[in-house]
Amino acid sequence: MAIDRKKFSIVTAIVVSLAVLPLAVKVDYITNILIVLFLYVILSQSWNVIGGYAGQMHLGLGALFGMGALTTRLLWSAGTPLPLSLLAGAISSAILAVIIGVPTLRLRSHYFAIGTLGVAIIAMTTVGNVLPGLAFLPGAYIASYNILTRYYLSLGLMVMAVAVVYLLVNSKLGLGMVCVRDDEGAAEATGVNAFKCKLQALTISSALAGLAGGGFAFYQSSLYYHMPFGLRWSFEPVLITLVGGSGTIAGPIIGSVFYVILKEIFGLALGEVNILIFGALFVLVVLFLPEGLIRLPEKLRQLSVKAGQQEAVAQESLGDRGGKGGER
Amino acid sequence: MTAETVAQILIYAVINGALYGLMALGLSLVYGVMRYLNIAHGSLIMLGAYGSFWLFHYWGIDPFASIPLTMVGLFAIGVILYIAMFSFLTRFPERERIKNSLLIGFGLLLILDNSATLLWTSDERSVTTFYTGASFSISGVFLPYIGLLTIGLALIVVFCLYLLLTKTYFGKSIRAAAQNSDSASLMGINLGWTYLVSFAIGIALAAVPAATISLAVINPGIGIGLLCKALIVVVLAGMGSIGGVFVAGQLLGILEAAAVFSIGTAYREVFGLIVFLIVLLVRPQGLFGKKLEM
Repeated sequence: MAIDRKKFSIVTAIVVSLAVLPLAVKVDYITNILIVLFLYVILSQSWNVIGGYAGQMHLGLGALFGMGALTTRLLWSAGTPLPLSLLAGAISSAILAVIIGVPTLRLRSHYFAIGTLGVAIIAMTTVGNVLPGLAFLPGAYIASYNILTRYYLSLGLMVMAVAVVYLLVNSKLGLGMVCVRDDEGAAEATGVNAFKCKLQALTISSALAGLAGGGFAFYQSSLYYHMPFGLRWSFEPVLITLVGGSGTIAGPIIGSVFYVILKEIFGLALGEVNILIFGALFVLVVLFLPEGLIRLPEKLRQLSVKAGQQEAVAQESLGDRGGKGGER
Repeated sequence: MTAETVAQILIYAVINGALYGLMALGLSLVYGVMRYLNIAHGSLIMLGAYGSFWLFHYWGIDPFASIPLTMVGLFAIGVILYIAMFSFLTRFPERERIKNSLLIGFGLLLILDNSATLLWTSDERSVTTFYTGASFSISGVFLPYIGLLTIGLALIVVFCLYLLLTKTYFGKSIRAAAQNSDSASLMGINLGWTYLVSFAIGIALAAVPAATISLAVINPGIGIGLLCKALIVVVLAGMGSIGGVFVAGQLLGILEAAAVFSIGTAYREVFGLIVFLIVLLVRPQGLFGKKLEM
């Protein structure tokens, strides 16, 4: 695996500047926005693994995000050290994913989509019924609430998530996932165990979603237990990833930046205008730019080159009229 | 448990079942004919219910009487949606069609739900007529008027759809396009036109359950819950099976009634969804679907 020197130095520069930023700019508002951004990046990378690379329309990421959040929160507020709680959150999501995945991944992809949506709604309703209350933190935890700790934790988790996806994509499993996405039959014929491959993708994706949930549970000082199970956590990563560019590392990051900026601009309006705009953008992307916004500059360049070529051809044929025109 | 209680539970099960069948009908028609899984269907029912509400609010038209009006409105919306979005998918093979229509429907669902919130706020509304909550009783069993009207509507809609699909030339072309679009096209059927009209009919059918729902409670977020019921029914019936939809609706109604009676209302949705998942796993072609399509 050859690591591109230039890309590597750019990524390092971004991470370092993000690490220094809250020390230089001491505005809690910006720090909070960035924490939310990092969590969205983790969550959309999680969807990117199962939806973008393995090609499975997962509409129930909320169940796994919620599972991670719930486990982490319960363990952490009971006194377990934070790293252990986060790990347990990720593992519990991965276990839930295997339980969901073993039966549903054998089905055709649209059954998987509506099946996972069903699972998300079951999880949401059940948790809402069993734990209807608000989760408060122990007093000592609130007294020691420090925004910078949250910031660095979510930054670290995000870097880790992106690194995991990068390593995964450049591994044999990643190649298998892409094969299964592009043509399941052909993948099986060349010796890829499609089911196993999809299940592994789902497990990794869900562990990442659980990690995002854990980060979220750590960030929120008080939250309803059923809140991280909400359908928005299932829907938003799909929107973000596909708009940004699914099946690419940068796509979900670009999508998340767009999404969080829109969310802040329209934060005070009623009815989430950001989702309205993103929904419309999403439909346009699905119809006309299936590879996402990340391919937009390239597409535009192609179009202009094409237009230029057509012009040149038109002029040439005008000039050649009557002549042989046989040079080409 | 007395005989009256059982009869009462069954009555409600049948009423709910008829409503579920109506909700799933348009979804099933669109899937059956062109393999579009339009998951915005619940949100379109929500839109229809708002149509009924405003017609009642401003002009005092009864929701059941305004069904033709909301149907025309939704038909027009269906035409626009097809031309603007869904017509681009006809070039894809079946598998890609399902996936892409699902994605577009997903975007549409978010657009519709959030537009409704912006336009009409997230307040809960409902139409209250003189017969809301009224019922008559036969030997201790209550029959609510709204429920009876819903059952009546379901029967009328099934009959009309049956006539359309089997007795008219256009219905024949819809069935031909559903069975094999390539052959239908070779036989001189205008596929683009058939798809456009059947898609619009599928959307217009959302107006029928919308009338009943506007008499209960509506808010911009009800779409996803309605979609779930419709999806459960469509999968139970076998995807694309139009005839099985009402039987599957009744089945879901009875299952839910049993769940409410034994576990309580809190888990009504969960129970339906669990049955749905089990059917999805054990018999993905549905209870009445013939073709095995794994």
